[in-house]
Amino acid sequence: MRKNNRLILLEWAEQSRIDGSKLPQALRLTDSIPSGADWRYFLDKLLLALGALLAVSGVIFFFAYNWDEIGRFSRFALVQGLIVLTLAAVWALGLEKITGKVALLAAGVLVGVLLALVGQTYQTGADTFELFAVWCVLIIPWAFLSRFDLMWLFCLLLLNIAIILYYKTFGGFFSVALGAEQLLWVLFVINTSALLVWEWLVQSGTSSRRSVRWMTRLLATVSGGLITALAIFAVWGDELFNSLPGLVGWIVWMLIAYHWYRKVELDVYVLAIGVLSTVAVSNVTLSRLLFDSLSFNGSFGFLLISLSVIVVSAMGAVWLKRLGSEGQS
Amino acid sequence: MTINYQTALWQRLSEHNLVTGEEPEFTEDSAPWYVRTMLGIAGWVSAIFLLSALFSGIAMIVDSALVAGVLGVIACLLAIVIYRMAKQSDFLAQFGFAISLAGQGLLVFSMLKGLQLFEGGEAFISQVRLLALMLAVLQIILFTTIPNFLHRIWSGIIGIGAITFLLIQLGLYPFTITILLAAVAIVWLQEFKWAKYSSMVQALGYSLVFVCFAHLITDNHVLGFSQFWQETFSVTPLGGAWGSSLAAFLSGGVLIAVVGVMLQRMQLEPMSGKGVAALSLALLIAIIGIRTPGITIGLVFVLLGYAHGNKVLLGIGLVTLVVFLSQFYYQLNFTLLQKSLVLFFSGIALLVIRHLMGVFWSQLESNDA
Repeated sequence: MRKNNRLILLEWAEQSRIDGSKLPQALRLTDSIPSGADWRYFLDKLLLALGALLAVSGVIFFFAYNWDEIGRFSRFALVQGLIVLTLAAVWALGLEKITGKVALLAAGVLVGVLLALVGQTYQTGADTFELFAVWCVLIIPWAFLSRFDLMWLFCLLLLNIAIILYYKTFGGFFSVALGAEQLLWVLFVINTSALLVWEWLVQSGTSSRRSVRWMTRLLATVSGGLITALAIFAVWGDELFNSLPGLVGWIVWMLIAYHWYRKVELDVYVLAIGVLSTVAVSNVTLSRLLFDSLSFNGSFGFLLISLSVIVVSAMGAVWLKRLGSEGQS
Repeated sequence: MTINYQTALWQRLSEHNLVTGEEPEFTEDSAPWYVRTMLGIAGWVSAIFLLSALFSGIAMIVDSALVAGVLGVIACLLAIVIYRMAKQSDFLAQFGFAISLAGQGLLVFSMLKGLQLFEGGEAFISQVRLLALMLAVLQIILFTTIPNFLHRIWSGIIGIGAITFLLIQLGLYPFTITILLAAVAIVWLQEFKWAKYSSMVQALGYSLVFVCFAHLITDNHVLGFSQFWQETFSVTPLGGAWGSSLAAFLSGGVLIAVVGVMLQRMQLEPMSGKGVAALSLALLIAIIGIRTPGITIGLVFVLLGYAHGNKVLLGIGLVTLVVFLSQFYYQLNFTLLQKSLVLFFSGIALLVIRHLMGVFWSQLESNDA
């Protein structure tokens, strides 16, 4: 795996190939540390993100305080006024600019505050999951308009929360209570669909992959984590009918992820998630075999599992490093 | 192609007389952060199973502090030998990590048993302090003798955690977080100067960052952490009711100092237009940070990470900011109204400054030129 310039230069300095006093100059020459112009760009983005985050958090905290001295009309006027204000900012700035997109995201967050205020004021009796679901539905058109990754991510987060709350309220979906696996399956399908759509968008050239690699990685981590949990449930489960889909789903996920992120679009991070998942599932399977099926003695069984974890993870690391080197060639 | 890349980089630096001697041999990255994280998680799990095997297999360990201690020392020594003999082997490094963690587990068990901590009693507090001291010494030895980044991070976090605990016991709470933040700033700002020991400095820097983050979050999440120290360990917080605010203000001082060093590095006078603007902004954030210390701490990480081209440190800083805000909601020593006002007006102030920066930056540039 190729090191970035910074790490190469630090290593050379450690080997006394670069004098410590000349290191900053070498780092500047190789663009490893920011220039004055870079600082300006960075501070601009940092102040925008931090300012928006603090201001919107302040509004959320304010309405959570539920101040009695402010009447209900004033409260509604305040939150609606803020929504109008942020939308006016969007209109003035335009959605091509990052500031406009951030303003629309802020408006999207404020919609949730408004919905919470409606529930708080009129005691509608609605379940909490409904708030998140309606919130998500209401701001989806804005997500389409803004074409802003963070806005889509926010919608996905709201959807996940709505599903989890629904499950907590009713204990299952469509009047069928099948345990925690059911919730994991639903979340897996939704987040994996989001990953597939994202990959399709990237491949069709709608997004610049370079700037949004973190999105692929985040979605793949969630999707991979959920299917790994399902596979582990499957290995520990006693009923074959319930267990099989989890294992089959995991194998299919691993094969597709391997094909896509190894052959089509190399992404060592996602493959590292796959390796960690393999370490987990293979060793849970080994534990089940040793302690349940073969009734092994505890001590020897633990030792075998420990060695197995070491071997599988180290093999995985060697493979990942080799892939990383290939990716740079 | 990678080798060619390094050669090209070497030649470029050579043309500017920035490098000396022969071009070093090509070395691959030992692993990016996510592969290291994966190995760390796996190593930790394998150590748990290894310890389980030892405890279930050798009944003597459970009975004797001495046997556990001797086995722990042997395991740690074995790990040092493995790491020093096979620096490039992933298999042996992973094996060494598991052996070392198991050895440390045995040593801690031995200490707990030897100090009779399982029995409780009046001497509990002094025994826990002694345990922390021994743990700190053990981790310092392992940090300096084991030449492996992942292991150094582990030793760094546990060792610095133990030292922080001891500082709290000395009555320095709540200033311990400021001390940690200052240490973070010093270590990372000296990264280039101490490049001869780069691998150690980086491991130490990340460990300090992790412990500082953990201190912030536990402090923030568990209401009256000071109360916890007072009730459990009879430690009175330094500075009484004003201690936390003063500590947060001093953390702001660390932020201002970091900005000052960066200005110096960019050869900008503190009294120049940009200098005054940068220091005023840092001062504003330091003031905001009196009520919201996580913002100051997160920003110090972010600035250090960006200034040194370190994306991992930058990312940790951003995560610190977001996690702090989500925890801040539950902090009970301020009302939600107070918190909302601080956050809202701070956010607006930062947006206004951003706008002013857009208007005046080019003007400042021409003045500073």
